[in-house]
Amino acid sequence: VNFSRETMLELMAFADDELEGDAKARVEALLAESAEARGVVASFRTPHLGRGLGEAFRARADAAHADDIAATVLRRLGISAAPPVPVSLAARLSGPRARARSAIFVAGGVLALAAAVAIVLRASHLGSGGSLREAHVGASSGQWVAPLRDVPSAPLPDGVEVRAVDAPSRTIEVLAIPVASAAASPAAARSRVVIWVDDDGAPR
Amino acid sequence: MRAARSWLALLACAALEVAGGGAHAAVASPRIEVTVIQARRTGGPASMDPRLRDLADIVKSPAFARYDTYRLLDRRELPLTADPPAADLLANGRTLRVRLVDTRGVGADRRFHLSASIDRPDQTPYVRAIDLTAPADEPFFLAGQAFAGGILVLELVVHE
Repeated sequence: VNFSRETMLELMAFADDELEGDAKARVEALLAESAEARGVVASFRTPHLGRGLGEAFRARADAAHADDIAATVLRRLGISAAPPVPVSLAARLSGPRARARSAIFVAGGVLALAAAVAIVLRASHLGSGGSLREAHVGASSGQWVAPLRDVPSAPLPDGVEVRAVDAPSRTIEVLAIPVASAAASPAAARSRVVIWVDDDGAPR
Repeated sequence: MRAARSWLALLACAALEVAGGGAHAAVASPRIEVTVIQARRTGGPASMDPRLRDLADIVKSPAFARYDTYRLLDRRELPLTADPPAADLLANGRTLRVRLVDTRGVGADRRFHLSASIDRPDQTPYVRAIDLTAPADEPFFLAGQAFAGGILVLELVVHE
């Protein structure tokens, strides 16, 4: 996939039918000319885990008012923020025997703490035959997402677990990037966690 | 004579083991390996230092799409303790600090709870705190700091 993070965010929002106006037209134009973009949207719309995760996240995010964060992100990206667009997550299982051991839990309670941002992402690994798509969450400065408490029914993550990030006035993304060799060796299937914090003067 | 010395050494080791309750021998002191990488876009042929094996796994992600050259700037291993935190002066003059908060589990299930920060000289911190847990030998990355026309990517791995 060769899209920028901003484009991926738009594609995810489009897959959730949550884009409007210019942003929606921009994505539709991209979809008309790019099979890759269509594939990305289709994967985000894959039933089962992708949609299930989206709904689960939405329910949790609603409770935590996390939409406010996503709306701020989208405003920075020039996307219509009214109504607020939830941060989207997507994950897809491949293979008929894939099991829904994968879960990405993102949530939090938003507290109005100035100049701070935190993101919580948990990524557990898939069982045999499964693969985890890259997932990312964006947030803007000026808000704090409290760490997610353990979910009783969730399996303990066996990889790196990011609980919180506090970077004043900066945009933070936490990404779970599947390891390329995972398909060849399911037992070693893992994702790599990248915490990306924007900086003054960094190439955009 | 040599055999006698060997037996004495063995006895000494056994005595130390008993005195220490075996705990020190069973739980090694953790270290944190910090690899500092420069990512840039040169417009020329893509290149990556072959020593950056873990990074090679993830640079096809869209997040790294704008960079085509990855250079290893520094790699060092530091003791990972609660106090003082492991501190590494980065190429951009900032200081990465990683503190061991606690550990959970034993053996292969052992996880390290870490707190990390990146300070800027005479300014507010670039990152005030990152709170995470990680198993041993599982790399994770902190990316985005501006440096020399590109960014720094820090790869961190806890070793036992």
